[in-house]
Amino acid sequence: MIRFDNVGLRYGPGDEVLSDVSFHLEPGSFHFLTGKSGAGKSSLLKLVYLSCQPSRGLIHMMDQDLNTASRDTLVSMRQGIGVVFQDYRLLEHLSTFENVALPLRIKGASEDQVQEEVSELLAWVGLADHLHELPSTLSGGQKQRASIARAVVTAPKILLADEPTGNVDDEMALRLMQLFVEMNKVGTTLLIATHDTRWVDRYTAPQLHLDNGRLSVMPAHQPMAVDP
Amino acid sequence: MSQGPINFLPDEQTHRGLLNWVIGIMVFLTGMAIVAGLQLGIMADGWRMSAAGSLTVQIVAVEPDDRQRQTKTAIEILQKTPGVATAAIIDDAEMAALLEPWIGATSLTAKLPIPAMINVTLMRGVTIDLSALETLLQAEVPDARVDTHEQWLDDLLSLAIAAQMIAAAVVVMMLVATIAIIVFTARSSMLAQRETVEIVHMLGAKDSLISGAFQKRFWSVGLRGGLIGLLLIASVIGGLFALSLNVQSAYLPRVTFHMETVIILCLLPVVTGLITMWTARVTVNRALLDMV
Ligand SMILES: Nc1ncnc2c1ncn2[C@@H]1O[C@H](COP(=O)(O)OP(=O)(O)O)[C@@H](O)[C@H]1O
Ligand SMILES: [Mg+2]
Repeated sequence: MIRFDNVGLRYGPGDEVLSDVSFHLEPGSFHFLTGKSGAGKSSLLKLVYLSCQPSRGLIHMMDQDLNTASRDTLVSMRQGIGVVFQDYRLLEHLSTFENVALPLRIKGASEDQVQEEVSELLAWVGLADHLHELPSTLSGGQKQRASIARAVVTAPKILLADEPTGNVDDEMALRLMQLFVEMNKVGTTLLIATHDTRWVDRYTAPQLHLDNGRLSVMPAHQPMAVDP
Repeated sequence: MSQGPINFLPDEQTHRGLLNWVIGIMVFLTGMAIVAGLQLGIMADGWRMSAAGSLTVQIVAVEPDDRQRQTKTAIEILQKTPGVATAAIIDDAEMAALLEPWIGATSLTAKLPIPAMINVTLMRGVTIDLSALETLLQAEVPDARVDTHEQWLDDLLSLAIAAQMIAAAVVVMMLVATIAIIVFTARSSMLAQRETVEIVHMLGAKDSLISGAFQKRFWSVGLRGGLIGLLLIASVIGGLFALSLNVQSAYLPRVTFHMETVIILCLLPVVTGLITMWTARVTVNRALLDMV
């Protein structure tokens, strides 16, 4: 589903933010992306959601070589990727409902479908009472949930989340993780960036670990090393 | 997947009111140049037609009796010439009226050796070889001088054409300046909405969907600007027309507006809307290419 071969990324003339990153995510897999703050997690996700191009290396996604994919191909690929941003990135002038409806409208969904799916999803994340409020009136956790609803509303093939549980209480965090896991069960390829090791310990998913721009792949759920 | 227009841009844009007026003023100036150019063209056509249909024959004999006799002969010859519709002397009273503004109301005309003037009108569509006509006349009327209005008409027409070209140049410059203003405004509008555009792009919107939202907005800005311009033009022309009605003068040509001028003016708002829309669309599409 997603394959990186010796990918490097630099912003401007400085050092590489990501170096020699290689990994392969199978369709329907579930990985955590871990690493300290500044390690390059968000940058790696940016490459996956096609918001920037690598400085070197090859990326293959959804059977496409990104170096040769046309602009139209990139558009339809983006429609198959859901992203939860660390800073939510909701449109401040649109209501919660319209924010969540946007990806559906962009895909050309019918108005009936939009009404039904968006209301249902927003009720599920506990925002049924805030449908017509602007994001600026929502709390951090509520914005987080709205942004997650926007990411999953189109049932994307790939779901990327950047610190999705950072601003919600434990109960809601559990619910949201549960939502991600449910989506993974029905086939969504899942990549969740987090520095919160609790989730990594809780779910048996392999990790892509970034350390200063270099990536290592760690197999699922290594129980705390026990001294021999 | 059908992609109707999705209104994802925020409503309020403070500079839009100003832009309406800027475009309105550009349309006003452009429209005035168009009116001037078209009216000049119509007037020139009129001059050309009235001049082409007529000529003047002067009998420059000094002796009054001789002059009268020659004039009579000339008229007889002219009336027999094929293509001539009428040939009539401009009588003393008419002559006096024509000369009055310059030499005053006196009976000088009788004493001055003023040549007799024969006004000749030609049949519609007829052109006459003037030197042949002059030769023909001079066989019996030695003091006949044929004078078309061609020379001064040529001067007048080339003046009119020069003025028309200036008007056309003004229109082109206005168009270029207006497009430049719209390009700048569309860019700054996009920059102001950068975050929104990036998010919508990231959610999988086609370039055409994004530029479509700007295009829709700029269409209405252009249309409104065009209407403002048209209103300004209408009030200025209406004002001038009202003033011209108050001026009692036979020397002022009657101002008439031809249908084509009116139609072109009425199309200005729509044309402005289309130009504005198209410019914004191209500008936004180009800027979007900077995004992966
Ligand atoms: N747009 C950018 N321009 C320049 N440098 C950036 C940009 N985004 C991130 N960086 C730098 O790249 C490095 C990795 O950042 P980031 O990917 O956000 O890491 P993480 O998400 O793991 O905290 C940091 O040193 C950061 O300063
Ligand atoms: Mg980050």
